[in-house]
Order: sequence, then structure tokens, then C-alpha cells
Amino acid sequence: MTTHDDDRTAELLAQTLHEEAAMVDPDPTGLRAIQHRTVSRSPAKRRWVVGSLGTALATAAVITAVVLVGQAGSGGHTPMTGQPTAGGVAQTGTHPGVYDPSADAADQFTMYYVGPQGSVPSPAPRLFAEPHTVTSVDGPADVAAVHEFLTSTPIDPDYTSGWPQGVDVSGITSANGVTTIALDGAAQLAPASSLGDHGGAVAVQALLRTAGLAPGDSARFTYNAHIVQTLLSADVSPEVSAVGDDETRAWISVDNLVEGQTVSSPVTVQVSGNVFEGTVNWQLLDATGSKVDDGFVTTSMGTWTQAPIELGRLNPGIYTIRCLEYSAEDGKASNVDDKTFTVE
Amino acid sequence: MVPVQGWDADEAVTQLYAAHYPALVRLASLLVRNSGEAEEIVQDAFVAMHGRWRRIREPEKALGYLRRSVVNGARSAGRHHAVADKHLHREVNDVRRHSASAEQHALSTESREAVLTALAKLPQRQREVLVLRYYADLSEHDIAEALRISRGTVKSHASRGIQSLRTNLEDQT
Repeated sequence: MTTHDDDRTAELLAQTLHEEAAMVDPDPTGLRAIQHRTVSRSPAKRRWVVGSLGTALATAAVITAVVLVGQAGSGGHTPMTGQPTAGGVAQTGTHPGVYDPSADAADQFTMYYVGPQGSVPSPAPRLFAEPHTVTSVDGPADVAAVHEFLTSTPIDPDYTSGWPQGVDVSGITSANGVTTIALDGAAQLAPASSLGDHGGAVAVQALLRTAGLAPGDSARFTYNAHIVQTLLSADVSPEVSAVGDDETRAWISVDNLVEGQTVSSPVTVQVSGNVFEGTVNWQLLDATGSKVDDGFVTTSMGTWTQAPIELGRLNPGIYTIRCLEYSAEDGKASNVDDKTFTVE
Repeated sequence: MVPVQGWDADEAVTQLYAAHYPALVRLASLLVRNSGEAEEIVQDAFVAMHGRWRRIREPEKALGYLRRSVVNGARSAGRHHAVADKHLHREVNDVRRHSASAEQHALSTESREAVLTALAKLPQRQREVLVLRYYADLSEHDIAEALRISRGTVKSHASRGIQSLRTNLEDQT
């Protein structure tokens, strides 16, 4: 039986719920996040995965469960992670990037890309590492790495170099502690508009890190044999220094999977994080985009620490691992890095 | 609202998002008390609907499917209490900060928190019924469909839920 007191309680509850709900301000990028996940399951994306990584993996005699990207870098420098960026740049290199974990170490190079541009673009561009395999390297390794960076398409569609098509490297020399990077091309070196005001500077940093420069190392650029003052709207005159991780590295990154990679069970994903309270949340999605599992791991706050996500034995199929944090300010998802992979 | 008959999956997502996304996020937020997680739950629901669009035999009931997915998602989200509790603490503080400057609110922050605390103590099913009834303003029929229970069970949960809520509030004072 309903009493008068129950009616008053019901009125109080209704008012409370409506006032509480009114404080929730849904993320305006929600539709983009949904469309990113639905598009990622489309035939077009699957063809792309087969066309890029599939090519690389077809040459691999053995496909391993987890390939440590950190061991695949060129020149001995450890692949670091970068950070997310404003989105929308459809980078179109002259050839698709490829990663073959079984290839010779001398053929492995680490690209540093600006990202992500996907479901939850960051307001501040950051750098992500991605290994590429480049066979028949001719010439110095740093030139080969920058050539790959400028002329290939990132394997992960959430990343971009931020550089326009039509630019290439013709040489890299060092003298008196300064590296000179000679670029050639017919392209206008304007920044990719979707990368935001500082995106050009971050794209320059991406090239410097790909060339093997360490934080603090200085470089100058020439373009078509002329010393340049600005690149991608970033001031590089008279020199520009490679900056440290705090200014460029992705707050969260998946370290041991490359987009489209095929792995074996059991699957362990290594994620690096430098986030609020060190908490990196993760979600495992199946080929339909439905959540299979989720959880969190503890990394660090103030520095980057790697933590394993033990996914265990998974049935054969296509999955996406999505790592993120919930903003301390508004609880919204941020600093997302995701990788789609196939379990054989 | 535009009829959903004839939409493909992409169009269904776009149209239903425009019409219902904010309300669904707020509904999920009331169930999990974490706006970030609520967004994820609702986005999961839209992605699932997109994947099953051809199999949703009665497309006009897509909203019911989304509501059901949101309730199920909120229920399974309870598996990770450690994370949820951390965000709950943070969001409660956020709510208090917002509330302090929101003079238009008829209820004090303390009153609202008391009701929400009392609500959180209810059994899950009673809580879901009350949120769907008193926030989403759903009929018994629609609540029964969202929770996949009978209308009689909805009525029972609603009645007992309000009584328990009143008791919990009295215990707090």
C-alpha cells in the first residue's frame, strides 16, 4: 500500500535524480568515438589491416604471441611513447608502413608519430612509437629511418607524422655538436591543420626522435638546400633541440602490439603509463566492438612505468585492446591508445 | 522524430545518438555514479546496436534495446569497485563544488547526497527500477522491457524500493 510518506519520498527521489543528472555534461565527441569503433569493424579497415601488417606477417616464419616493440628499435634507442593529438589528418605516404617482428634487427626502425587522432583525440599532440621494418636499406640508418618516416603511412591509423606528402630527406650530417638534416621536396611545409597550434612543433620533434636525436641534442634544417627558419609553422631558427619525454611522450601507450598484429594465446599486453594515481584502465573488445573484458593496471604518476595486462587465453578472432584513463577533472575518457590484433 | 524504418546501421547510430545520447549518459551516470564510465557504457551500447542492427527485428524498439544495454552495462561495471569507488569519491567532490555555486538547486547538497546514499544501499534491481521510474519516467511496461522482468515484478520492486529508501533516509537522521 502506498502511503503519503512514500509519495513524498518518491517526489524527493525524482527531484534528486533530475538535479543530479543535470550536472552530467555528456562529451560532445561521443558520436565520433562511436563511429570510430563502428568504422574500425568495416570491411575497408579490415582490408587495410591485411594490406599492411598482413603483408609483413606473411613473410614471418613464426608469429609470436607478444613481440617486444622495445627490442625492435634501430640504433639502440629505446622506443618511447608519445602522446595523443588532435585528430583528422589522413596521412597518405607513398607506401604503407610494415612491421615484421621476425626480420633482421638491422631492418627494424622506430618511428615516432603524433597521435592519436581516433576516438578520443587529445587537445595536446604527443608522440607514440611504432616499429617499422625496412628491408634493403641503402645508406646510413638515420637517413633510412627519416626516409621511412616521411614516405610511409603509419601502421596505426590513429597516428600521423604531421608532415605533408612530397618531402624526403637527402642527408643527415653532424658537426660541432649540431646535426643538420637536409630535406628536399616540392611540398609547402605548412602544419597539418588538425594537429592544433602546437602540432607543427610536435611533428618536428617526431622527426628528430625518429632520426635518433636524444633530448637536448640540437639540429638545424635545410629545405631544398636553403636554411629554414620555420618548419610546419614551428620556429627552428637557428637550431631546434629535441625535448624530453615530459613534453612529448604519450601519457599512455601500448608498447608490445602493433596495429593488426597476429598473436598467439596466452596474450599479455604491455602498457606504459604516467597518469593520475598511475591507474590505466583497459577494455578488450571483440570483432563486433562488444566489450569482452575490462580492468585496470597500476603504472606511475610523474614518470612512466610499464605494467602487464594479462588477457590470458583468448579464442581465435579479432580483438581490440583499448587503454585509457578517466580524467581527474571530469571523469571523461582521455589519453587513449588502442590496438586491434588477431589471435590465431 | 524521424521514423527509423529504412535507416542503415550508420544512420541509426547518428539519429539515435542525436535524440537520446545525453539522456542515456545521464541514466547510466545515475546507475554507476561515474560520468566517464557512463559515457563508455552508452558508447558500448551504441556500438553493439550498430553491430546488431540487421537483427533488431523491430527497429522502432531500438531505444528499448539501448536502454537495456545501458542497464546491463552499468550492472557489469560494478565488477571493478576499486576504480569506481575512486571516481565516485572524486565525482562526489566535483558535485559538491558545482552544487555550492548552483543557487538554483532546490535541494541542498546534503539532502541530495542523503538520498543518493540511501538509494545506493538498495538492492540492485530495486535501484534500477527506481532510477528508470523516477528519472527516465518510464512506464511499468517499458521498465519491464528494459530489465526483462514482468510488470508485476516491476511494481513490487518499485513499491518495496520506495519503502526501503524512506527507511534508509529515516535511519540517516
